[in-house]
Amino acid sequence: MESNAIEIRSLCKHYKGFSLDDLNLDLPYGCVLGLVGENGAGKSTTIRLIMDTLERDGGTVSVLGTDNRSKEFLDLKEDIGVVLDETFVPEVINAKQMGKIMAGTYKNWDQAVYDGWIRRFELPLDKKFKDYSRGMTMKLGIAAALSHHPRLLLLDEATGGLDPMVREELLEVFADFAAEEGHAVLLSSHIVSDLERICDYIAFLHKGRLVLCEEKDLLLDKYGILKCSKEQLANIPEEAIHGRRVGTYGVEALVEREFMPRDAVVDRASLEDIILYMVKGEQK
Amino acid sequence: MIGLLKKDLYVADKSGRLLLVLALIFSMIPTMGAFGSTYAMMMAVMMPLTSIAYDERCKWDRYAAMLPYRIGQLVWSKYLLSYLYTLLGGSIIVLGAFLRGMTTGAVDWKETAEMSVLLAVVMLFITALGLPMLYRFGSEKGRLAMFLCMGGGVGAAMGLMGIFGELPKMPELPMPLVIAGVAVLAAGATWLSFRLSVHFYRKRQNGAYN
Repeated sequence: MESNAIEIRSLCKHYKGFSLDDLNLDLPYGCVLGLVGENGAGKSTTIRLIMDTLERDGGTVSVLGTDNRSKEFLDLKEDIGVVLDETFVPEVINAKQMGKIMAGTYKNWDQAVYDGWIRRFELPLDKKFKDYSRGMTMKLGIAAALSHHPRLLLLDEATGGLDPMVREELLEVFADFAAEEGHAVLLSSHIVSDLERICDYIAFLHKGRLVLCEEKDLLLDKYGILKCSKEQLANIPEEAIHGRRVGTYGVEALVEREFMPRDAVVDRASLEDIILYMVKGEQK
Repeated sequence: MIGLLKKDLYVADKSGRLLLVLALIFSMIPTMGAFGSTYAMMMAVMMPLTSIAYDERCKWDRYAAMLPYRIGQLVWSKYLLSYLYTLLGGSIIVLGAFLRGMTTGAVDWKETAEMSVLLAVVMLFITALGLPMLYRFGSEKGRLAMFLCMGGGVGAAMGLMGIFGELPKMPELPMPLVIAGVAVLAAGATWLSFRLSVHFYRKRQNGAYN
């Protein structure tokens, strides 16, 4: 078996006013990849390009070892569960009907698994979709995505707008899924704390460009926050500094530990710190 | 494909049932003439429109594109929905005639059958005309464009009648031959319509009409 569930090479898509440029990304099996970025950074576009529902302008995408432009990819969609950020089913449909629709859609549909998820998420079977809360909507989408024995989950802002309790529950579901052999999860979100909790890899998209893609733990080890005066910062090698915030009493900077003097006190940076400083670092 | 049809039938459930009952009532009233039959058939054509309007509201197409369906299947399911309701409409006309016959004692079954088939074929034409417009312009503008085209056709016919006094006389042909001829034309129109719909659907999916 190939080592990556998703392999993206030099992927490009140009819209009026937006370009996704030269995207290269790997999602290894057994891992959760967090795709983070501001609204309009290109996260949803990337997911649509992975599923080939949007014509690309260049590059290649391989999903579960299959070129997503090949004829075989249609059958491979049986192995991919997708959850989108918005309501996606007509409002008059209920969970019971949703099950029947999906049973007529996926060859591998497992009604018992679906019923299990519906029970676990405590979703009412006969309540119409229009009366669902955002949390219930996402849970139904996840139940549908998990009930045809997928090997890959693509989740587009699946935790956005949910309360912490529901987010916690869903993150656990995603982590459990990824832990099974031959599975992988791509989770796009702008809630960085969620990604920090469950992701093995982090890819940061900013204005259609991939700013970084690294193993989360390496990323957290690599960067730190330095608090010092302007004068002290002036003595730090420029290549160590990836962003700075200048205040009245001093400076806070995102620094690469490798380039720092041994005696420098560098605090732990959260993923959110790293991303925020990197975006602002453009203006340094 | 079954999943897509199920979804559309669930969406159209309430309005579909109401329209079927109304069509049955209209077709049972002798003084209504062909109104009941026409109503039943028009209802069939409106079903894809209702379904597409619901799809647009919840962005179903974005989700459907992620499912193991070809674009052709996504598009064809709306044609099938229209045909399914046309079949139901035709059955209602026959049922209405049967019930009318039980009360009045006389039904011209040949005329009823010919009328049902002819109306069904006309509805195939209207479906073939309407669906590409819905896929090109969306449910709101597409509905308008569809009615404008139908109105334009009727208006053109009336205009010709105004100019020539009456429309040119067609040679008397046996009804089965007329139906067969129109059916062949409808099949051709459906083929062309389907290709256009797929083209528009694909372009819409890529944001060409946003």
